[in-house]
Amino acid sequence: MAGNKGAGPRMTIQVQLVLRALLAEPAQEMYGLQICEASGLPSGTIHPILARLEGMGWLESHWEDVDPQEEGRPRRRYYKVTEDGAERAPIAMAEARTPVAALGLRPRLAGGLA
Amino acid sequence: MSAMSAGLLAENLADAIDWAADAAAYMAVPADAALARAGISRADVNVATRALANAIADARFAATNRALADGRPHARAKASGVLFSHIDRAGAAARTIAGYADRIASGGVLAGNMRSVVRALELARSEAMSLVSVIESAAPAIFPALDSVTVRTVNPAPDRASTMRPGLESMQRRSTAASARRLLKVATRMVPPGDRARYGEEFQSELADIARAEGGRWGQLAYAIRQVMSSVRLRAVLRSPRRRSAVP
Repeated sequence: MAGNKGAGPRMTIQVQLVLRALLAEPAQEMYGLQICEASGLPSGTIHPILARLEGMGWLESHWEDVDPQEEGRPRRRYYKVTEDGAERAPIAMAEARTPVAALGLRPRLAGGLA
Repeated sequence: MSAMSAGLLAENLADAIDWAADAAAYMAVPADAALARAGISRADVNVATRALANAIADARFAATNRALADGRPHARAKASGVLFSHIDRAGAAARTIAGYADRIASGGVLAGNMRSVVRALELARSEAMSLVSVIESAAPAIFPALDSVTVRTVNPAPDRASTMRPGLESMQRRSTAASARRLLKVATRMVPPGDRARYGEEFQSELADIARAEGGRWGQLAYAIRQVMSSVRLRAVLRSPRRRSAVP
């Protein structure tokens, strides 16, 4: 269920995988496909999770500051964990009903696709 | 019944399916020693968990089709039947796994998780039935944009939501699959109007990245299909009143 700043999100495995990918390097900004790659989730499945976390104030996002004409591609949307998210997400993950750590899934290194 | 009620039910259904998927993922890694003590082969567990995972994935896809079929009674009825059959398949697989779990002598935690799978699937079925009845009674008000999506897909019109410059758009048209772009327009139309420009551009940006990285039409199509499948959920999240109050 969607939450607000006072309540955490439901900690599904997918939510935990996304948070773990973003928390691996909290200062690093990542775009959607990088997050998919780092979390191991299929591309095209994470936007509801990102929207929920962003709505709760755990993530923030902004458009890449490039000229699409010069780059030869559309600009990307970059996501980053907020201070609030960096503080609260690890606690929520530790208290999850099914902690992702229990599944033995290893995080991947976040690489670029382009 | 209001459209908001249908939206909440749809989100509850998606949550219930996710919950079942989580529990299935947890069940997929029981200790081999515990399985051996219970006389259960790893292969049997793998078959059952794969069947459950496939049924859940099929149910998720059917739920999206059910939503997209809004306004077309025949398609709606057919999609409802498919959705229920997949949920029933998932329920049968979950009960099989629950039987295995109960046989694992030291598997108290696993058995508990599998019971939660069965409960979640029962909840999913209940939510799906509620969703269908709500949609039947409030169909015209639930997804009013979908009819226009069909028209726009067949006869593409200038998209006011697009913020890309014409030159860049033509450049992207040359590099990405037209079928994937059309599907992404459907996904974008599922998003509330205030968020369409952002997500429309973000989806197309990711499609361009996939085209550059993998190049294949099927990879792009797979991405676009998954985006359409998750668009009902994205719509529900973006329409959440609590989210609106949390994001300026």
